[in-house]
Amino acid sequence: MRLPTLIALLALTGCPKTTPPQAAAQPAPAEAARTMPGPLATPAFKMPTTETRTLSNGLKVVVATNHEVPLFDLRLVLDVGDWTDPKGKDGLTEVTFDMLNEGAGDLTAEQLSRKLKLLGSNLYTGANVDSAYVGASGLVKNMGPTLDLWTTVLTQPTFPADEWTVLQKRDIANVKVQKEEPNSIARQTAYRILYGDSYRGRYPTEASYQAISPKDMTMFYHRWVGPENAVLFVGGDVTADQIVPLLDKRIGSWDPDVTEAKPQADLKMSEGGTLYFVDKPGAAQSVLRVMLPVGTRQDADFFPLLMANEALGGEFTSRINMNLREDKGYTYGARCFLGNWDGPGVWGCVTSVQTKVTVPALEQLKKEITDALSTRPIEPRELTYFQSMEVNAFPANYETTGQILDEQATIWRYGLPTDWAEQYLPHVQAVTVDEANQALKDRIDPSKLVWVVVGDKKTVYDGLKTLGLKVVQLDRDGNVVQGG
Amino acid sequence: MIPLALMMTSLGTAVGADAPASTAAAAQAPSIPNEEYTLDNGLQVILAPDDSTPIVFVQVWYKVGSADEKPGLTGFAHLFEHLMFQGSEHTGPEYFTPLQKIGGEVNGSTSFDRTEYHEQVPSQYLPLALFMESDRMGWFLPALDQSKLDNQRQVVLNERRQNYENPPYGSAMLDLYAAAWPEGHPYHHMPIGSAADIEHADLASVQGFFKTWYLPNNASLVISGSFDEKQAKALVEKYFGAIPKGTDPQHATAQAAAIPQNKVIREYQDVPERKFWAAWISPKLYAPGDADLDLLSMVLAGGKDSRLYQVLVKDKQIAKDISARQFSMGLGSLYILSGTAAKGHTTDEVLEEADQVIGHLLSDQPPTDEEIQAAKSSYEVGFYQGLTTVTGKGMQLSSYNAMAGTPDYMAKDLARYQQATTDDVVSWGQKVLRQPRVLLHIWPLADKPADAPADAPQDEENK
Repeated sequence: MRLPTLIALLALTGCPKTTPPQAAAQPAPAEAARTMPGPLATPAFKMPTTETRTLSNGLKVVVATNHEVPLFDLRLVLDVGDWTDPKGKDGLTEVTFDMLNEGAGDLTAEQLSRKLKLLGSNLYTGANVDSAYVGASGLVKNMGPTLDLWTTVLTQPTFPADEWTVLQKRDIANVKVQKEEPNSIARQTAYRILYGDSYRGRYPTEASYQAISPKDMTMFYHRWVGPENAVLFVGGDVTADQIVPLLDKRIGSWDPDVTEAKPQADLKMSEGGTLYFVDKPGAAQSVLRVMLPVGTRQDADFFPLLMANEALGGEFTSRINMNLREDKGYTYGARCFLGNWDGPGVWGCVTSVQTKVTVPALEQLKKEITDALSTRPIEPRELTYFQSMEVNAFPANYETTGQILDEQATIWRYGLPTDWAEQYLPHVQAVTVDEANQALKDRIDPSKLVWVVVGDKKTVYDGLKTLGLKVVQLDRDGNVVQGG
Repeated sequence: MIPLALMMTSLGTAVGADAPASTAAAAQAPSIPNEEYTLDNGLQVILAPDDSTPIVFVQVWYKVGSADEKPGLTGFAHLFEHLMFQGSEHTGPEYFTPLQKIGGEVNGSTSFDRTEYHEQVPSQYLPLALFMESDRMGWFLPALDQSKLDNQRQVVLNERRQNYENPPYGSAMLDLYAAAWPEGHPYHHMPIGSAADIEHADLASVQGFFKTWYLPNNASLVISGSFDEKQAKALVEKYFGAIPKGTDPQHATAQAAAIPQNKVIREYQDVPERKFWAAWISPKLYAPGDADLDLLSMVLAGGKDSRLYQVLVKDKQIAKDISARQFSMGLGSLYILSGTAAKGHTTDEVLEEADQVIGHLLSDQPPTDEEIQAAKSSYEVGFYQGLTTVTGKGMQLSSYNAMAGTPDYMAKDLARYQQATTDDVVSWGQKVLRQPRVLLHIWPLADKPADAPADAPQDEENK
């Protein structure tokens, strides 16, 4: 280390510690420097632009060029997800996309992995609640061969049975793992209660994984995956003129028949006002989660609700974290969130608290929510604070290619207006404090909240009955524990 | 550089034909251009302009970590880090409030070797970020009081419960480090520390800790992103220049540690699966062998073409997952092999098989040229990925500066991987993995034998 040398040299040139204080006659720079400074001139910010093209097979390609680093990233995003799981085969969509990397064309999983490593490239595939993706990234100098591998995986997956045996065992084991992990137990319990038997309330089980075969994956893939159902997002050190011919050459004639129409999500509103408890004997903390369904991103009060959520619990400096963490010391952190997908989303809050303060923490959480709806509505200074945060944080949302592609995919996938990004800040800034409070009142009915607590029954269960909520004990699969 | 031709030949694919020519400035070799200088009070300053987005990243890196903690005060460096967010003399009572208002991303972290604080703010708020960081460097103690300490002690105890006590296997790393590093070694305890020590931390110790370590001459400041260098230098002088230099602190040192003999720990907990961790002491960060062991990890367990995955997970199906990784630190590292037994199998079976695979790799079945090349290429791309954000650049500069002795270390860092040979990888593997190791098995309670001790982990010496 060279630092000790530098310090030794500085010691010869004078040590500030022994310097006498500034003479009184001079301006006191030390004092001036101890006043919180305002901003410099705000630099211009130009949102990155995208270019949209269409391949020979009709596939839309959105390109976001960024020459900063010699990397590229592209992902085909598909309009499938957990909602495309057939009942009894929950998990089929996700495992189908997980399996794409396990064999394609005449390549085995091992060969694919080796070829990608040699290129320093990454091929990533997967699915979630309501979208799926087939992506590739790496150094631009290796883009051609990486695109070849990506094309093979996208258009010729083989779903090899021996690889499914390995993955199937892993997935089945993970069902059990999730039932031991307290946050996961709380999340699954809450969604199960809210959404019942619809796709958002169902989770894969050992039986559903057992029921899935490679043939199901092949059928699924042929039924859903094609250019009609997808958009390709490309970003990085590559232009539309460069990438489009490379893509057209590889997938321009890829055009399988995709016939399925999207079913309506059968989302169920739960009976709220109940606290569901799941026992985790000996837990050092209780996981608290409160949730209820709200509207969509297209609703007129989406932005008022977004801002109200920030004031109430969305950020570190929001009411709920400042109370539960910074004032009471009950938790390492507490946050509220708006989850928006296709159709109605959810609003909720999550925290983990020391076991012995489970009841007081729930009381404070409940109090913050009900106070915001009655005696302590969102104040103008709070709204202004978080509007300022949104405005100032905005340019940082466009730093990386990945961020830009994610936003473009969200706009497409959820049918948002094409000028969503440009209009985001004007919408945020237009929210009034009355609108924010009205959105809270319209969307968050405390009597409809679903409460979930995962913790040590012996220590916390009796106390839960003092909260004025109906208390029901569930097991980790969502079944009522009789006499609980 | 990796000879590109060789790399492509091994694939049998001609690539030049339809790869667009990169126009990126960094196309030649990854680097982070920067200017480094030192204030009169000893604060090292590193400026790395990057105009691509109008944001700026500010990081202050203090050369103090959990390794510097005194006995009875474990977890103290990290508890202290929390207190630094409780406001200083001129900032108001909460560090986050003024910075979150202007869209800042604010955080800090404590490791064995250092404590770092950072914020990413819109460029026009560079003065505010520098004001805030300098105020807690120079004017922290007047704002500290008992109630802040009491509150953050509870927050930290909850952080410990959330990350180490409540999740399955949360205690594994605590136990592994305690067993691998001898009593009294700076790495014997993890940065989170013991709950009892955190409970007992008092105000006088906090004050003493600040006075000892939180000095401009024990810190570096990095600014990366979109800013004017001349303006930034004036601001740095304005806000940090008046903070007095202190006595250079005495940093933790450690004799080369060794695990004297194989040690096996068996624990039974409320967990769903049988897992194991095997740890060897290995070369410290940036020392000879450190990068070679990274390459070895890639050959052993980096992806579906790796040796351990193929034999243990794919062919024999005795493991659900397997991982091998060099955990690099400033005074010495741990090389950790870990995995989960497949249903119906034991971690002992997994280990026995893993030992066979590793044994062959280090003797009669050395890595092929292609395996080594694949490992190198995987690392190379990571260097570019680190350059896509000003936060990534800033963090890397601070780390190079403190741990490698210069912010301009990226080319040398990359060369460590590019220049490694198959013989280097094998010989470092032999040197490290043939030494005694610590083994930790954590199994579900249902597996607990009737004759196992009720509470204490079963600790057996073998070989």
